Amino acid sequence: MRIFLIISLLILVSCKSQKEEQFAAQIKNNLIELFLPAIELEVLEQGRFNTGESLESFPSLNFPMVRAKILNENFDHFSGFCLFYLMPNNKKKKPGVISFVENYPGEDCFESQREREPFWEISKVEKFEVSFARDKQLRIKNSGSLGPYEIFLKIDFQGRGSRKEFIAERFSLQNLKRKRSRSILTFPHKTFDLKAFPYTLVGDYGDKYENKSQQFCYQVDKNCQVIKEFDCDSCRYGWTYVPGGECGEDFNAVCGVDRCGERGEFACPRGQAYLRGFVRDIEPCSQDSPLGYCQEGLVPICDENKNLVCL
Amino acid sequence: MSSLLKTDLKGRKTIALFATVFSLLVSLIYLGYSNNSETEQRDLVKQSESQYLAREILLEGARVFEDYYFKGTHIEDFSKGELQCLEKFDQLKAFPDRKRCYAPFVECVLKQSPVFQVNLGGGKYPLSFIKQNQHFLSPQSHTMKDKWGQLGYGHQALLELRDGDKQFRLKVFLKNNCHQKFLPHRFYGVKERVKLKSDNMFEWDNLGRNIYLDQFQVTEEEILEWREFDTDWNHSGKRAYQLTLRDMHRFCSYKGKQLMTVPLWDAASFLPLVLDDPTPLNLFRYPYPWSIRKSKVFLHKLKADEGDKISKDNCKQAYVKDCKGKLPYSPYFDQSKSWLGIGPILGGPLEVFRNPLRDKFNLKLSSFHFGFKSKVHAIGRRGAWSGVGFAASDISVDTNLGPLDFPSSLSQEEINFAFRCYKEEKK
Repeated sequence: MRIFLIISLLILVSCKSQKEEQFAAQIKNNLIELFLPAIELEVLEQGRFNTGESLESFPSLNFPMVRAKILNENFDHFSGFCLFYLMPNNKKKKPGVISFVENYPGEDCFESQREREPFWEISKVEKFEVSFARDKQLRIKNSGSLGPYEIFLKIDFQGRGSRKEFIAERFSLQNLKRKRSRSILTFPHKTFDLKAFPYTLVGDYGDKYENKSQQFCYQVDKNCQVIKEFDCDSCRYGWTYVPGGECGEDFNAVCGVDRCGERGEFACPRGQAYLRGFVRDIEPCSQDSPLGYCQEGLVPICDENKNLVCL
Repeated sequence: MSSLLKTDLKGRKTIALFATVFSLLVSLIYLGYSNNSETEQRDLVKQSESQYLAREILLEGARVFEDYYFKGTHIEDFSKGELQCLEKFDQLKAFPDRKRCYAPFVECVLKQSPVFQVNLGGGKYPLSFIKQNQHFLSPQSHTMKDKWGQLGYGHQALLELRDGDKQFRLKVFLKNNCHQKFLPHRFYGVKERVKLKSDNMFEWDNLGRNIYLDQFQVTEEEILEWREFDTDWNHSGKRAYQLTLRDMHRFCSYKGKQLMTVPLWDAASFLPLVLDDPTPLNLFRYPYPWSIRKSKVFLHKLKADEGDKISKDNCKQAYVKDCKGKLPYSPYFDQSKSWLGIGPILGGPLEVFRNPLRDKFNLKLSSFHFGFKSKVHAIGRRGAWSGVGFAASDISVDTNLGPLDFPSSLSQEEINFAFRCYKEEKK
C-alpha cells in the first residue's frame, strides 16, 4: 500500500515539475517573441549592465533597464517596449519584478511608465542579469572575425511553491551593430527611419507672419527657457530661423516657405558675427540691426517679442 | 474487533487503490494536456524562429540594396538591367556617380530584373521587389503624411521573401540625402567685391547653422515624379517640366527643402581668398569661380582675343552659346563646379533663385543663351524673371549690365528655367 502512496506522490510531484517547466517555457517564449524582432536595443543602465553581473544593489527601485524598438510580424509597423526591474528587497523579503511597458517613439521610459500599465510581468524575481556581448559561437568562418552581437538575459525567480528556477536566454542579433555610444545596438542602415513617429504636418503654403498664420517650431521665452521643443522636421513647407530674440544665438524658428526679407515678414538671419564680437557697439533692435537683413528699401525692426521683422 | 480491523484494512486498501488510480488518471490527463501544450509551445518557438530568419534575410537584402542605391556597390543580378538602362540614360555613362540615389535609373533597372540573391550564413535566398502604385521605387513626399509616419522625401521599395506558400515582406525606405554639399561655417558676401573700398559690402555668415545645398539642378524626371503628388500646380509652359516660380517653391517643399537663395548661391560660387580662414577681415569676391586671377580664366582671355577659339574643355567648364555643335551639353560636367563642388556656376541653362535682398533679380544670366563675349558670364550678374512666363519678354536685366545680346531664337521658343533647392538642419 505504501508503494501505491509513494507512486502517487511521485506522479503528483512530476506533474508539478511539468507545470514549473511549462511556466519557464512560457516565459522563454514570451522573451523570444519580444526580443527577436528588435530592430534597436538600448541598455539604459549601462554601468551596471554590461558587466554581466547580477543586479542586486539598490533594492526597491523600479529602473528602466532596456528599451527596444521592434518591427511587427508583417514588418510594416514599429512599436517598442521598456523593460523595468523592481529590484528585490531582501530585508523586507520582497522579491523583484520584471515588467514590460509599451513605449511610444519619442517617449522616454519613465513617461511610458506614467502613461500605461505593464503588459507583462515576471514576478518573484531573485536575480536579473542582462548584457550585450559578441556571439563567440557564431564566429564568422574563414575571416576569423568576431561573430555578431547577442543579448544575454538571465532571470532567477521563485517558481511555484518557492522552488528556485532560472531562465538563461541568448538572442543572436545578426543585423544589429553597436553605436558609438556603446549602449545602443541598432540596424545601422537607412532602411528604417527609427526616429519616425506618427506626426502631424504643420503649416500651409500661404502662411505668413503678416497674417499671423505662421507657427513657431522652436521657441524660447524672455528668460531663454525653451517653451517649444525643436520640431521643425514636421513643417510641411520647410522652416527658417528668426533673427532677434533676447537669447543670443538661440533663435526661434518658424514653419513655412522661406519669405525672409519681404515686407511684413521676418528678417533673414545675417549671422552671428555680431554675437561673437566681430561687430561691436550696435543694438540688436536698432534700425541697422546686425542680426538680420531685408529687401532693398526695408529695414529690420523688432516686434513685441524682439523678433526682427522687415518694414 | 479483528473483523473490524479487517474491514478497516480493506477499506484503507480500497481508498489507497482508489487514490492511486485517481492520481494516475489525473496525471495521464495532465500529461496529455501538457504534451499538447508543449507541442504548441515548440511550434510557437519554431514559428518565431522562422519569422526571425526571414527577418534577418530581408534585413540583409535591405542592407545590400541600400549599399547599391546609396554607394553604387555592384549587384551582379542587376548588371544586365543596368546595361540596358544606360542606353536610355546615356548621360550617366560618363558620370557613374550620378546613378547613386537616382530613383528613375534604379526603377528602370528593377523593371529589367526585379530579383536578386542574398547570401546569409552560407545560404542563398532570392528576394523580389514588389510594385506599389505601379512603381518599384514608390516616391514619398515630405509634404504628405504616410501611414508609416515617416518623415521626409525619399523612395520606398517593398522586398519579398517566399518560403513555400508563405511570404515575408519588408518595406525599405530610401531617404534621399545624396548629392548635397554642406556649406562650411564662415563669412560670405553677395556680389563682386574686388576693391578694398567697395560700395558693395553686404556680408553675412552661417556660423552655427547647418545648411546643405543641392549639388545639381532639379531634373525633368524629378519634376514629372513630383506632379503625381502636387495636383495644385499652375502650368503655363508647353513642356510638362516648365515650372512657375511658385511651383519651384512647392517642388522644393515636396523634398522638405527651400528654393535656393542668392546669398547661398553666391556663397557657394565665389572662390574664398583663404580657405583656412573662415572669418577674414576683408572678404574679396572675384568674378570667376575657378581662380582669383582673371588672366587665368579662359572666358576673360577669350574676351580679350578676337575670333572663335573656344575648346571642348572650355565648354565643359562653362557651356556657353558658342559650345553648341562642339559638344552636347551635360549638367554634370565636373569642370564647371565651384570650390564647394556645385555647378554649373557659369553657362548651362538660366537658373532661378529667391533673392531676399533684391527680389526682382532672381535669375542667373550666365547661360548657353549668350556667347562667350557677353558680360553675363561672371558671378553675380543677374536678371529678373517674371516667375510666370517662359518667353524672352519675361526676362529683364539690371541696367548696369547694359543691353544684352539676347539671341533672336529665344523670342521664337520657350525658355527652360532651371532651379535647385537647399535645406537647413537643426544647429
